[in-house]
Amino acid sequence: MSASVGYNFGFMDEYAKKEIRRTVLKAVAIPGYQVPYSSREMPMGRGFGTGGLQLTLSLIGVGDNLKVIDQGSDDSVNAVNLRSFIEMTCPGIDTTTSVDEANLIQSRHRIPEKPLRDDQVIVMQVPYPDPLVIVEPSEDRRKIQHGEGNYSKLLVKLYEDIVQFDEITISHRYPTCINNHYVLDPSPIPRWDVPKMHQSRALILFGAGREKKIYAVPPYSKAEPLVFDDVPFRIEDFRDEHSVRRPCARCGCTSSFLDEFIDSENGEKVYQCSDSDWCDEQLAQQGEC
Amino acid sequence: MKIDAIWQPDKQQQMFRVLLEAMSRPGSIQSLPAALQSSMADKALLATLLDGEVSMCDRHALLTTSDWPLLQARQADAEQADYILCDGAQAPDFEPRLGTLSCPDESATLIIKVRSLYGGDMGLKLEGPGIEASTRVVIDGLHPDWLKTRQDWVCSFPLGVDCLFVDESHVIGLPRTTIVEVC
Amino acid sequence: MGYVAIKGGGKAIEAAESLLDFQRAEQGADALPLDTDSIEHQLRNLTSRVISEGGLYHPKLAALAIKQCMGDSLEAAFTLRAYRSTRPRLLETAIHNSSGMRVTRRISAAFKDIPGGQMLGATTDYYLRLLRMNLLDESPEQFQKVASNWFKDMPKDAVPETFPKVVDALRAEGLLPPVNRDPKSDAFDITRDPLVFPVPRSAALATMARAEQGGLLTIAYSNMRGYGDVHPTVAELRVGYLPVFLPHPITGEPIEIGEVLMTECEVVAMYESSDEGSKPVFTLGYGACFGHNEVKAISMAILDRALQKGAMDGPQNPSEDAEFVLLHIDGIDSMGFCTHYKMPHYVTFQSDMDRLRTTQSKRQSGDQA
Repeated sequence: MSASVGYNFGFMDEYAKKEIRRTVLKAVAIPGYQVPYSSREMPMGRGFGTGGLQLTLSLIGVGDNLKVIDQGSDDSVNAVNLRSFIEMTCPGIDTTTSVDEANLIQSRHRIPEKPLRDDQVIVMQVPYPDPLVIVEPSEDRRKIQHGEGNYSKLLVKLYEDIVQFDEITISHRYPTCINNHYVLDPSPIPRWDVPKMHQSRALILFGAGREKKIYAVPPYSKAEPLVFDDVPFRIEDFRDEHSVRRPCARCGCTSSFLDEFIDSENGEKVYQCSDSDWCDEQLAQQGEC
Repeated sequence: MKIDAIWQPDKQQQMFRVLLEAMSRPGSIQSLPAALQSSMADKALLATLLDGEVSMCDRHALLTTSDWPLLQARQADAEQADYILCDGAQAPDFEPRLGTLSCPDESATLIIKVRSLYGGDMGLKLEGPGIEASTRVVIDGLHPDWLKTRQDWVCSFPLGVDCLFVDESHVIGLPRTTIVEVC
Repeated sequence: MGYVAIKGGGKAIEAAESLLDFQRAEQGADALPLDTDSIEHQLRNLTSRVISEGGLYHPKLAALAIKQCMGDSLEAAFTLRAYRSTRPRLLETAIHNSSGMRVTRRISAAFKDIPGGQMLGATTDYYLRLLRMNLLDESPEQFQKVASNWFKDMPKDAVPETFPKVVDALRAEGLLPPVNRDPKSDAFDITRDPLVFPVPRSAALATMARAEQGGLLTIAYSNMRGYGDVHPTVAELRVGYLPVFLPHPITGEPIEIGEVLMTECEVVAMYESSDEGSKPVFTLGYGACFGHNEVKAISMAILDRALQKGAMDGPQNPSEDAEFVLLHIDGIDSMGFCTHYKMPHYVTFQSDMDRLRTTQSKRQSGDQA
């Protein structure tokens, strides 16, 4: 594409990358704390992953193999768009759809099903970085509450849920406490993916471009969803009316997060792996057997 | 004129990844990228992180005056600086910024130069985020006062300082969350 | 079963891009493309808006952005802003005094007779908003004659180029507080430092200077209507070209590198109870932006006043709350986030359904019990 002519490797100028790199190191050093940074405008809309993109562009170099996921899929429009922009502005890097092959993964809304390794870094795109925003609109006051590790207002909100619905109603973006202090917003991943952050072997970075924050969960860190002793944290339930775990209609897997949709021919509900690379791999393994 | 590799953007990207690994996995010994084998770790690190937006203190005069214009960083006292370059052989004799409860990121990063990150007589057991169970490092040429002083600086999380220990060609990260025990 | 939920993204994007380009050229085989010079000059107000909201003074590229985005001011400002991200910041100007502005229009609502006099300039203020049907089929000859006739009738040296500032006169009379400027404090650069509240006034002004005009106007209007009490008087509104100086790379002496079209507004508001002992004075609100955008400059000046009040007494209204105002007026941020809701949210929606079904079944079993 001719639009690439004259742009620096990684699109941003080197000073912008340096600032992000300094911010990332502080984010890793203070697990779960949202480090403010100046956040450059990217040529795609705020909310389309510009925070994650700025992280990826500041991290990536020749020799890296990048995977970009949106909704678990490498082929969704936004994933394709981000990947081709990175390929265009970072000549010499490799891209892949395989979790195994990738050493750098940028994702929106999912953490891959396959456990990540020590040599991998995953970058999550974040629309709302602060879990306290639902109980406290002022950032000034939120920063003090975070510093003090004071999450009483959030716990009251969870408690009110239980009183009203007999269940915690937070479906995704489940507030999670990192290393016993900061509570973070893990980005809009389903509850299903929250336990994957606990003692993850891979570094997890979070970038919120519009809200201008970067935060991190270092490898081998505690990541505990906020709960009460008598109301356990529950991941999404994929059992049918007979309490049988639904399988993926494509690969048969019974241990993955499923997308639900309506079959256009017979109008019935169909369930399928949300993580397309995982689904393909299950199919391939069955082929080998 | 040939530009030293540490000033080249692609080398700085590689060096940053080394630093990211060091900070993410405290105690792991990270080597300079292959393309920077003939460079000094401390200068490669500074070239990667600094520019005109930040300040630095060269506490023990480890840099030459000609380094400053290239680094672009503003000079500052140790009490004010974003980055402090120190000689690990000398006892710490300053009070770095520890950040505030609201803004713990407004704290100093210390770059501490030691003789070697392999061998020596100071064995340290490390625990905390980034470390599976525990790990051990041995540092040569670190004044023993550093451990006690660092402990004072990092004892009230989230306040604290983050340290990067360097020898000629390796880096070890020690963020504020790492619990250090002499062993 | 080969059905996969999301597929073919790459092809769809390419097709959408070519369809957009087709729309741009849809007018027909014998149509001519818009030339960017015409956009820059004939759509000067749109160009002004785009350089202001894009935060980059580059009328030529702003015109290109307008052409490429087919006149969408948000998209065009966004494209210009993204281009700006690729440019390093090399130098900083010193503080510029706007009394050096080559003025094309300046008015005051406070005094009939201001030093230097009122100069109405080009304005739609008293213009009857009647459609000029004769422009529907304006010939090139008629069009070109407008400018040549205007120059022909223009007396040379009719008006001075620069004017004294109205607020300087108010200050001299002791009606406004003296300029409170700490020469050591640098202006906050919002492109380099994130906003961590509370922010200095220079950060608020910079954020408003590249804010989306409609957003800024909406919040300022809420203050004017009653959710606030600034009650401003426009001390001076000026439009013109401000010479920009940069330090010479060798001598360090300031040299003029060009000029930027700007709109500047100062509003004076009623006095506040002041510290004990000092005499009461009027208060000031300041607005300035690239290009000719009067509504924006006035809105900004009112909000500057409202924010200063909020910072001092605590915010009583949305327009006095710095976080509320400054985090919601950026067009690029807000339009991006608004459009992002069109992206797939399958996973989170699946999660939402899980919660709803769980609470529904709990409620049902509770009802039966």
